[in-house]
Amino acid sequence: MLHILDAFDISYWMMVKSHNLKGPYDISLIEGSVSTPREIQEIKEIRAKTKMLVALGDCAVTGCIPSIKNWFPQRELEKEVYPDTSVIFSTKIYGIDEYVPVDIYLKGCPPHRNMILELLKGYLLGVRPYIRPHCVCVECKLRENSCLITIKNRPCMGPVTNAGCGALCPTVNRDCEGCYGPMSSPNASSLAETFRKIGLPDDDIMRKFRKYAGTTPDFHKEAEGE
Amino acid sequence: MSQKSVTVDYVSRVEGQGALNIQVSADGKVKEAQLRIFEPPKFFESFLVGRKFDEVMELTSRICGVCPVAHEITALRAVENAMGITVSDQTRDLRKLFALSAHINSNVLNMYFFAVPDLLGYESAVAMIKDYPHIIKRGLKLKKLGNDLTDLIGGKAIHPVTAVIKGFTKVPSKKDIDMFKKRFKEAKKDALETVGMFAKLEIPEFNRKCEHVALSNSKEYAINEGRIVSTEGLDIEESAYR
Repeated sequence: MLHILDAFDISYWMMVKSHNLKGPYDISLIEGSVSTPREIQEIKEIRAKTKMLVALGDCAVTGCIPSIKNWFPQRELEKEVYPDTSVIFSTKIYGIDEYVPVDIYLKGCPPHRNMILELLKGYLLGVRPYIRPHCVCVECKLRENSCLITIKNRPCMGPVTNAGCGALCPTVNRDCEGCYGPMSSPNASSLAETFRKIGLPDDDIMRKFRKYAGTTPDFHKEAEGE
Repeated sequence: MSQKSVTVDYVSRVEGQGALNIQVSADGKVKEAQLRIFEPPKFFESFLVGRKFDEVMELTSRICGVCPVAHEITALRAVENAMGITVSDQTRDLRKLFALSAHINSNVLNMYFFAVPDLLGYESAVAMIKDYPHIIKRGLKLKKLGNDLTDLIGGKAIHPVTAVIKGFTKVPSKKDIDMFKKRFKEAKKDALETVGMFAKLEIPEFNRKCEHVALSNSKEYAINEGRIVSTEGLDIEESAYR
């Protein structure tokens, strides 16, 4: 990792450095969703001085778990937490591409370190990084796990979830919960129907799709409970 | 009377996001210092309402990428207490080890990568590599040790997945635990060198009235369970915390 860092000048990284440069930047790796007016301005400014904008992790890609709040009226969310709500300015939570074009999406909560290395190495070599578009099931088969859905009747999100984790959860005896967000062109309604056949109540199905990526068009219908 | 003001728009090398405003009077005395936290609110307390009991730890884990283990264990214990579930000694011990692995991660990050550059006059740990490679390498080695142990118990180091209500979906093998025992015995040297290094560093004197809160347990060093106590006299049951 230190060798890779040697090949880059780190211009701006608040959590690590005190001397941070104002740009322009060749690559910007953006973590986190956009949820305040200040952040809307910030992401637009970063986009304007960045050649390659990368959404790093589910928060930046889909809004991730904090986006569950989008289904509540803002005043109710605020009332529950803050005695003085007049100082809170919070918008609905979305990934950064709600506001600016994004060049590369690194999915996952968190994204696997190999994906970050793949991106940085690809950049250095001038080749397109290989970002997996397929579902977790492919990795699960490669690990020779037996299928949680067809063999054990368990509600696994693997068939609609983007790969990258190496099918970690099914390998340690947990259902995939979908923490890499939707794969490319998932069939969410078919999986929801399978969950119904397994005996999962409609509320549980809705919660599963309204978790890491309820804001995405891919999961929208199921996240709304339609 | 003229006075000077110092503004730091974004405080670097800390967990979270904040700005600093300092007012200095004409005779050079600090009149006012304000830390302004602009980290956006995320409303976890609110949107957890209506979620299912078995996903609370998975959701609260996402409060923080540095200390997800603490949030997971706390959520699991809260749900278990509410449902009257007691866990086995094995689960209790493994959770303790799990929490300790996260303490190593968090403390090494804070000491080696946030604090040491300030104390030695560098802008970052990256900038220290050339002059102090042994310090940075020791920090990275200790960080990796903590990460790997969280990984072994939890499946991955950030937002681990194996800790669930009543226990773990998978426990480490005896072979893996023995291997870690060996690695930890070797790391004792690095830990002692860390203590030695900090004992020698000059830390600026700063005292102010401040309430410090911690867990306290009369039987052992409190890790996951105990009473919540503070330096101002707070002493309550965990379940009384709001």
